Amino acid sequence: MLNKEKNSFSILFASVVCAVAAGLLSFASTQLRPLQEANAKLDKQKNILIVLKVGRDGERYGTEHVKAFYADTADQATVQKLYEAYVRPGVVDLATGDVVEGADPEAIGPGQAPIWSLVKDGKVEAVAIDAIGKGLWSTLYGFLALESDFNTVRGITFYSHGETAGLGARIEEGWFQEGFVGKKIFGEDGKLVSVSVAKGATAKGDHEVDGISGATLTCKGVTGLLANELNAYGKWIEKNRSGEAAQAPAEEAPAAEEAAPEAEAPAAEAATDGANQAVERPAAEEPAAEAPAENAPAAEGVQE
Amino acid sequence: MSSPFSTMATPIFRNNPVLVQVLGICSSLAVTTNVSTGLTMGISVTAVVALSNLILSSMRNWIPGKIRMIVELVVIAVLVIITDQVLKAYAFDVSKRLSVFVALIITNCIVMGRVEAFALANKPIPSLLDGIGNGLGYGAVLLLVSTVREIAGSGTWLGMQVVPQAAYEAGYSNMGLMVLAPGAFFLIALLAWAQTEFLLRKGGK
Repeated sequence: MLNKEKNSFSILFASVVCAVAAGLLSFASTQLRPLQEANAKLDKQKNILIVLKVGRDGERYGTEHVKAFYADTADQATVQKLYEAYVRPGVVDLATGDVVEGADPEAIGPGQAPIWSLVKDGKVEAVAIDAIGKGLWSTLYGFLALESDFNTVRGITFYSHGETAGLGARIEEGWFQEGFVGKKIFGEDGKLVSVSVAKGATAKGDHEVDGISGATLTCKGVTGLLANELNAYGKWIEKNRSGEAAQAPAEEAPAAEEAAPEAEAPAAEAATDGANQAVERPAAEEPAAEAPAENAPAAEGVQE
Repeated sequence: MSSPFSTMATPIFRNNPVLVQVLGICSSLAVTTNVSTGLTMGISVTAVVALSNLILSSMRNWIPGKIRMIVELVVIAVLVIITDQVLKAYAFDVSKRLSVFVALIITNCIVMGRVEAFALANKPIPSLLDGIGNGLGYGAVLLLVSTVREIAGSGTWLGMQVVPQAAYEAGYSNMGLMVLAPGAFFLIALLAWAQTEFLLRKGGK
């Protein structure tokens, strides 16, 4: 008869419990993995569509609108249809800044990174890139989308992270992400400056967005990861940007006009910027006029 | 020994884990901004409490005293991880919104509390019923609180629009307080007061 109080029995008992537990967990994990992976893939596609601001009919909609659409209304078939119709995944070689022809976007090699282009009528309207980096507790996984001028931010999303619920986790919320829309990643002098998150609700100018109070370190993480990713993709962005500028800006104008009715301020800004790239900017007059209009809705969001 | 029915019903009403024993408050505040997360959490906790009570109660004569807590935690953790995996596979959106709170069922005082207080001293079937009762008691509070919070805070119930558009046009606006944690504090406190005032006092005398 086994003696329950003996150490050997405790060890034996613990080993049996652990073995059974390990067996159950591996069984559950292997059985459920295909379903979980399918869900995660669908979620990624949804977020690419959100960051590219593709609404139900492929047209551009506001941040809150697309977020609500993919969260509540869109089913799997709709997401896949929209994704296949408008999004072209690709792979960029980071060292040279060239798109790797024929590369499989599912299998990214070292020194390469994925891109997702929003293609409409054969023209690239926007591009999305990975935005992955360290937050406070966890790695933040997200996407950053740029307009076809490769300077104006079209959107940002985060689809996976482990930040504090109610504080850092608010990077998922629409008001925070809306703050990035229309910001510029290049400075007046043409150098890459990225977009940073301000501490508190004090965002100014083209390169700062409102922060989240109580989530300073997560916001720092967002600032850091954007700078890192934009630097990593720098060659490719630089190439496309100069390419765009060399081509006639006329090609860009209709696209910006098209977007204007839906996305008021940021799109208008993109249009003026496109025109100003060749001409000298009329001093600081423009950003100053934009700043209050942009800050107002974001500041409201914070108070809510 | 009380009847099976009262073993299950007592924790739902008279001895509610949240309102009377004041256990599991943290997650009750966090997951009740809308009904779908509240409901999912209620069901998950019910499953975990019921099964951990059942399993540990059937093992109770074998568990060595020295490693009792560790064994309890291993069983609870396995159940919680499996619940989390199942949610990720079959209810991805809800599991995303619940974020860390499913994993935190491991530290939900109700689970450990019921195992220690009930399952280790009772037979498997009553333990199972006690677990279901406590889980449902927790779930009922979550359902009540999240119903009020979602209707007042977002104007919807389980995602369906409840407050008519006309009300918004007439100047009605959602109550921001209800979306934040303090809204849940107020509601749970009110429920606890109502519970003591109307259910316990009357029944007690």
